Amino acid sequence: MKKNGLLAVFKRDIRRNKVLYLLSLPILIWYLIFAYRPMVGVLMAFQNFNPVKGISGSQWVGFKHFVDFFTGAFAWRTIRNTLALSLLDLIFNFPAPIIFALLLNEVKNKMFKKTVQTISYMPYFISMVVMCGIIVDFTKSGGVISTMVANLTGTTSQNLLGDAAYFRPIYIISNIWQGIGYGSIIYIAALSGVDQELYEAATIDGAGRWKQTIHITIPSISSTIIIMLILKMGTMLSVGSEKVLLLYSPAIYETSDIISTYVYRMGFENYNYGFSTAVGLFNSVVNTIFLLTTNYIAGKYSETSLF
Amino acid sequence: MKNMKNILNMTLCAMLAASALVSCGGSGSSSSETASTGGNSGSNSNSSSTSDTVNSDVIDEITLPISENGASFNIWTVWSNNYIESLNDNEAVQLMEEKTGVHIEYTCVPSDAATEKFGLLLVSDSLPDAIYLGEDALSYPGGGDKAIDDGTFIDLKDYVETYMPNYRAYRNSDELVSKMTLTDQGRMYYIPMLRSDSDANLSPEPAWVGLTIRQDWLDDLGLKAPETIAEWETVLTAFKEEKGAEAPLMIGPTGTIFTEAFTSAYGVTSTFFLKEDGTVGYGPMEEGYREWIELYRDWYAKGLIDPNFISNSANMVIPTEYGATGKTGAGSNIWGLTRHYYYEVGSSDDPDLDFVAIKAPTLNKGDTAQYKYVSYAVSNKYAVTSACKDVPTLLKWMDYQYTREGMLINAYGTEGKTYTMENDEPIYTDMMIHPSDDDGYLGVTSGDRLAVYARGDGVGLVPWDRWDQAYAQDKRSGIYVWHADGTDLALPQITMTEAEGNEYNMLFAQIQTLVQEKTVAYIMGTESMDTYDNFLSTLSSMNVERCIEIKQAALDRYNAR
Repeated sequence: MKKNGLLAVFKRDIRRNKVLYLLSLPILIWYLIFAYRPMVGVLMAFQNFNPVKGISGSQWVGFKHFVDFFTGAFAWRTIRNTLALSLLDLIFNFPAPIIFALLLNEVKNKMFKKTVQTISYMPYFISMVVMCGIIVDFTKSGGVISTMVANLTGTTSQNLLGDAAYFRPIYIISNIWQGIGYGSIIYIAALSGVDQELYEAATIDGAGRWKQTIHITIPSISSTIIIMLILKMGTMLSVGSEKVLLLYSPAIYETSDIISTYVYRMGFENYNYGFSTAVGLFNSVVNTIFLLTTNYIAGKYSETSLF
Repeated sequence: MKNMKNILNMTLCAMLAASALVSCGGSGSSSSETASTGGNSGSNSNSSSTSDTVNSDVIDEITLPISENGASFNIWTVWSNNYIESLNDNEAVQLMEEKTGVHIEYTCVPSDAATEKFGLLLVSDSLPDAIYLGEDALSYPGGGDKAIDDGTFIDLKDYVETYMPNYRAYRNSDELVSKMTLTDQGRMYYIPMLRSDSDANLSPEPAWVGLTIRQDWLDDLGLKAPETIAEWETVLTAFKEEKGAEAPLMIGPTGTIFTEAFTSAYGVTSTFFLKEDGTVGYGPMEEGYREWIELYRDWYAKGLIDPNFISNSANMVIPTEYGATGKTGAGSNIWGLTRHYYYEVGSSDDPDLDFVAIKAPTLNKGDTAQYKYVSYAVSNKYAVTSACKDVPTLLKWMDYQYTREGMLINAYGTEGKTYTMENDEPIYTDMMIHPSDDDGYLGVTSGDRLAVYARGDGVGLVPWDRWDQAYAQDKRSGIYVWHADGTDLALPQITMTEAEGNEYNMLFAQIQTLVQEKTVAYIMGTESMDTYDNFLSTLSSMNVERCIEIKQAALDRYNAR
């Protein structure tokens, strides 16, 4: 009875809004094809996957790949490196665009502001491969950055990317350089929406620049910051593998071998598709947990959450 | 304000949902249809049905044209060149099509992306008719037997007997070739390129890659070409101190170079090798490997090895920015880039800059290093896939390339244009041997010309000494220097079964990660040699013994073929 009722309502709704339904159809199909259908591939994690036999024909092995990964020699190291890079990225790279946007917001000279903004966007548009090529060259012994570091520390110039200790700083600093301008766009947009009357009122109450920033600017864009933080948390373990792949070498696996590069080596260089998928699936599950947790906490304490 | 926030939230929400879903799905690429298109059930019945018809129409001769109605095939191959975009524009390929009436559509991928693209090709839904496998550089996981059992490649044995008279004759003429072209189960999963001498007798090509050294520096310094490790140290030290070389010796990013020079001096290689007693050994588990690491560690500390070796891909070829600038004095090179190459192509202003081929070093004077680039008469392999609709025609087309006529097109190009016949011998014309850039778009070396007007990488018979007339003898003579090194440490081309392969891949991927990492760390001195025993016991705990066992079993099967 109820089902009939629902169906009737649905039919009526379709008849009434058929154009709207038609409009949403392409997007729906896009999701089905590109987002949901490939998820069947997750089944490979439980198989000795054979590309030719496909998922239906490959041999099922249950949780073997997960057991292999967690008992293997490199599970802890790759998880640790991924977490370390993510956390460092969060600590340094997340606030950087916010601070940059706040600073730019205080600049009154329009010309100067626009110039700085444009220049800061530029690195974002350089291809990752080119950028990593530049980084590798600059950090070789005799390279610009290596020589600079050597002069500052009074040592001889060495290949910085050959030393496991330098990988993380190089990765994080170059990330900031690359993303600070582009990342600040959304905050600059949010800042432009702040009601100017609030500043006037604050000025009359005797608040200086610093107080205005603390009590007006930051609270006004806090919801944007929290949304961006939740989004960031959702991708915590998905450190971009391309950049690491282009920068690392066996010499610095100790700090640079992360889950996604490990998955890449296993899957595409050693053809362990099943194993590779299992590790990737683990990565996705952890990401989802991070996302839901952050979302829950954010929703509870600040009333801003995604869903 | 509130409104804007809501819109922002909604947009971000959608973005998030999309990215989360895509990233979940990304780990499992699409593959569910491959089973149906792979046609694993079809291929068996296919080959048995042809074997019924085999005896009735065994052909002894290829008649032209092979196809009257314009048969067309798609071949996936590894190929790149600076002058023409794809093999489809190569003149020999076009001439071949004219003669045979068979059109081949080549899908070309550059060699540095080959392994990756090959992996992706196997998981994709549409296979080409034939796939280039190189000289085992690209191998189907689990080996040829597995590929046939999976229904990816087809067993060509009956087809070869029926449709390939010329290949059949060459195959039967050489014992090693007939052994190598069979799988452990006695099947055939590829048609190879076969190398021959100028009289069309099968013969492996001399090593085309090996160690080179700056002869002009040796002469300046009054030093003799080094033969032993100790002499090498003297020479490299002189290069560093007298010639200011910042990277006297170039090595690959994981410490070794392609032909295992220096490692072979200690009787090991960086991976699996054949021990003196005929069993399989794994280099890093051997004492010789440790001695080699200690040598390199010492040299690295003394600045005799490229301080940036982990970033410079000098495994096989010295990068130009090092070779042409006097930053280095020795390293691995291919013969075409030796002697005054850098001056000839304008990378260097120094006409004296001279890299010459040199034998791999040994510990004791007068010894011969027992590893070099191992070459067989069996070269680049082409597997035919189950997607091929007309196997007989494709194989007849391949067989034509074992005829003298087919060989001439592939190796020499167009008669009257790129070569002429003198006393029944093909001789390259001037445009090939002394190329100029008069015709505008082509490079100025003979190799560039060959890439445009002829081939040497396809299926069929290719005489390796054709290069001798195309290239200046001063460079070419290098291959005979490298050829003089031995091959005792080299394993033959062995194949693992599917089960072995699965187990091996799982174990070895991790072992390799550890070995590369530790080798580099020991050489660079970032890890103390005191931990070396730990390293070995870690290797044991990762079950390296099982990997050796698997390789040994494969070797035993090969020996029993």
